[in-house]
Amino acid sequence: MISKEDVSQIAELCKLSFDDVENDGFIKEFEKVLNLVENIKEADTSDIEPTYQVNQYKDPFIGDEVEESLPQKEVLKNTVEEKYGYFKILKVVD
Amino acid sequence: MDILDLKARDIRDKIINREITATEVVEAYIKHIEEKDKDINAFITVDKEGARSQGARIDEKIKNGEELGRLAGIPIGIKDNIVTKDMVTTCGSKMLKDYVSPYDATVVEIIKKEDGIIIGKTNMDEFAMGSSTETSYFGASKNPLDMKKVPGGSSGGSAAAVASNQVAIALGSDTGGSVRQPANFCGVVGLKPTYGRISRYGLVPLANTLDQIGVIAKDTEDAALMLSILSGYDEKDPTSVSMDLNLNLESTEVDIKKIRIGIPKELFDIEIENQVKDNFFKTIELIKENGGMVEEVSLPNLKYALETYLLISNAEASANLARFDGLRLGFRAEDYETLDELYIKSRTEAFGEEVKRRIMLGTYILREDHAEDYYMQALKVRTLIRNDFEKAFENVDILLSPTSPTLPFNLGDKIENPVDMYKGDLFTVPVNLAGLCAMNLPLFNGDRLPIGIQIIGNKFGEEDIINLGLAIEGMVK
Repeated sequence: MISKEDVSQIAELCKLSFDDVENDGFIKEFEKVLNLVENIKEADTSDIEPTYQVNQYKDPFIGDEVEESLPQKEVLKNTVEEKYGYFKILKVVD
Repeated sequence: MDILDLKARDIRDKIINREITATEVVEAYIKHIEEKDKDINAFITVDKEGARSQGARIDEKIKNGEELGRLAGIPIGIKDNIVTKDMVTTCGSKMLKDYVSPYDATVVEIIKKEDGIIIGKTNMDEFAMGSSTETSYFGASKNPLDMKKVPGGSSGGSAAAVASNQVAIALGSDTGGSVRQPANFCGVVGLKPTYGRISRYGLVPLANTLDQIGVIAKDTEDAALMLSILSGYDEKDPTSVSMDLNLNLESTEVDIKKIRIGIPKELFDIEIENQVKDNFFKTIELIKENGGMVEEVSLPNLKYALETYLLISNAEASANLARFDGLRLGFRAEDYETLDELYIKSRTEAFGEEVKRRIMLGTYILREDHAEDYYMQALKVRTLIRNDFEKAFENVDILLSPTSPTLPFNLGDKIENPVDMYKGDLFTVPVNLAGLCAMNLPLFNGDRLPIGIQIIGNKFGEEDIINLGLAIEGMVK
């Protein structure tokens, strides 16, 4: 069983909020999904290595060359507020 | 001749042979979209002017005797989670409803270079989370074959657009079946290539170790054409792979006797709708009658595939969606006093219910006290599933299964019941977990609702699945 407190704590980690009504319905569906995945615990995985990637993968090194990056104006065009070529948000330090 | 009925490759050939102009093609498609898409809602954005100027440019090239690209004049739909710098890329979400990428995805660059005509961006479940296109912020798409039914998802807009002739071919993305299942529901071909075959640069990620861009087309040959053009290593996607793709599209005569086919015996333990089951066995009989070798194989860990998929995909998704914070791009709530409030209100107001559920689930299972039992366990079971497939492919070239356990369902039927919705992906998710390639091949049954079969190939075994697809298409003709 998952408690309301649990849901609130996870919501805080996710930067989401749920009002009460939404919260109750949410717990019910959330629990159904958790019940579904519960089966996985019965699989015998002793001595089995985890799969992080399906293909052999090596981080490639790139040459130390100067390349043009995206133009500042293009990058800023999707933000709500900008100032002096920066993303503008709240003042966080007094 | 109706331009709309032409296969993608025929459009290109007829333009090159000067039987039709690219402008005629563009105008025919725009007119059709204007009439048709009011009801189907396959598109989020249609770029009429862009398509027209692209068509004019191709006709100009022909006039000047310049060489044309391999996709010349073909009207193409792009799923709206693949970024384009000339059109918004919404991912079907309020979060990105106004987002215009400053760059093109690698697949979009290739299509433009090959003179393909990108006619619009197609509808999808929000952030590709869903199997019916009903979670889209822009409203559900409808199945062109039966307007009461869902087109499947998450690439439902792409599948519906191809099935209703609003594009000649389309791109989708497939994390657990999102190309194959909607292709199945709409009666078209849906090809999910091997993980790494096509660059994911510019695909907004759902679950990075499972995602792959795929092709939705009217038949196998069109899908193979697009695959051959898009595949290859891209330095902007370090998980993309350089592997030869030996497709011989000139000779479509395929000897089915040379293809060894396996049926996983665990399929028979799974609840499958009768019509789907009947159709599947009829196809097997047809293959046998034509000399195909079919044998039973075993994938004992298939029974954990759905759980493994839900755990891994949601863990990865919850991390991926953390980037949407309302600061640099995307929706920002209007009313906030602190930075934390800005984050919380922006995300809460802009994400839909299914997206929130998956972020929550992913975060829950990654929490310190659960990570070992759920996430690490899922990664280990993923190894077991991969090993099962590896063993099966020692004896066969191809595995067959139904694509979905049910026929297309009604709009509204499953949206309130996520667990039911997830169970529809039972046959498609194992392919992503093991990084294999697979294709939905449509086979119509009597009452016209499509029932597809899933042709699964080994890693980088696209040649095998395309060959079998061509062979079966030849048999049912």
